[in-house]
Amino acid sequence: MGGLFVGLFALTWQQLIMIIVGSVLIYLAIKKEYEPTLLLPIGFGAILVNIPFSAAINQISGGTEIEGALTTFFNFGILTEVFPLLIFVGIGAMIDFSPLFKNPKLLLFGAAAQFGIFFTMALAALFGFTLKQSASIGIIGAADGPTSIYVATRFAKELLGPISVAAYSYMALVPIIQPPVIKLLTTKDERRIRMEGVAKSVSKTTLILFPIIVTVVAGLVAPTSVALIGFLMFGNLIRECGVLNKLSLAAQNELASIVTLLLGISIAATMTADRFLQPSTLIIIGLGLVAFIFDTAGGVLFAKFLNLFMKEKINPMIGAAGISAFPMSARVIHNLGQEEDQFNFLLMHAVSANVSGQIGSVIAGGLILALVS
Amino acid sequence: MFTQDAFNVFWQTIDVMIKGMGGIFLFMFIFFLIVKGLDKIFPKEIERE
Repeated sequence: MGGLFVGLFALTWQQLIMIIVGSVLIYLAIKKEYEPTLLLPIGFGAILVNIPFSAAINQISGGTEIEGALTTFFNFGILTEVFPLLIFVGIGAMIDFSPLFKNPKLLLFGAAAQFGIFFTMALAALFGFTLKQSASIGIIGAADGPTSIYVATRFAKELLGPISVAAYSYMALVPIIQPPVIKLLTTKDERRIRMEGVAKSVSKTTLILFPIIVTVVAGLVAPTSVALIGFLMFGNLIRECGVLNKLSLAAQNELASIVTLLLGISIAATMTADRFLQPSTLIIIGLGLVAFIFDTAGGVLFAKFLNLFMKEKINPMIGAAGISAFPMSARVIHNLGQEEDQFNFLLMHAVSANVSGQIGSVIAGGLILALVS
Repeated sequence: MFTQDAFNVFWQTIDVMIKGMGGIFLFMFIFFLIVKGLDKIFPKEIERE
């Protein structure tokens, strides 16, 4: 009879806390709708791997190692980088680059708003993390889950769990994180700056050539970024070529959904109590917030800097949309603009900056891989 | 935290920060030129809103 309760008797308080952590993630996913596609599988996975003697992860029984399903998924999908790259195909198929062509100078905001990555990286180093761990923590500021997972897999597998949870949680919290930072750094008058809209139709040839040229250029300058940027642009080419509509829809829907599900639950394989309940987890979660704050600040301050030289002023809030969290950040900026002036329509410009952020975050990931390797 | 080793890594991250931010701006500027170039080669209609 005692054998029936072997799991219960073996349950440690650390595992109990992790089961509660998993339940909180599920609660946030369902009740608050914080990135449910990722946080729900991660939360459920965290419960699965923290049940004593869980067959979901590798266990040693009678001197032999019995492979668990989640460990198998992790080894196949995450360690080989297959899952993040397949998600990039799906994301690429979802991105419409045409807003970028309407106001190409906003591409620069996709660079400025990556500042949080490097600032946080430096801060993480002061907390005693190694260079590779610091880089993996900093990349939370890419506001781009797959990029964070991709870099962390290469540089700091042991921190993958907290990095993924922080990255996806803060992406969901963009509407809460960005407004106070923007308000702190801008005046009411600056937030009221109106920007003229330019509606352009982009030729199909341009949209087809763009992903190909960007891949070649990125590959020639930083070959380590080829997998990241290449898979993203491949997805986009499927979308824009016009002859693979079925594949494009499959990449956007079925592929992205299935791989996201597997990615989330596989990451949870690293969330065992002994690995996750460390002081470093709290530091990483704190640093993730710093990364998002300094991304926002970097974008806003860069816009203010440009305004010193420009005739047609840019609303500095647009700079904050240069992060990768699409389309949430663009919506936040548009709503903030309307709070100050209900006839100020910033959405189109914010979307352009936001799309730039999607490219910028991937480039940042590729550069970090190149510079830190 | 704040040990000599941590400061050594910190200075390395500053180096990565300078090169990284410079690299991203360079990339984005190149992409800006690509967009402008494509725009010129394959022109499109413009309607002012």
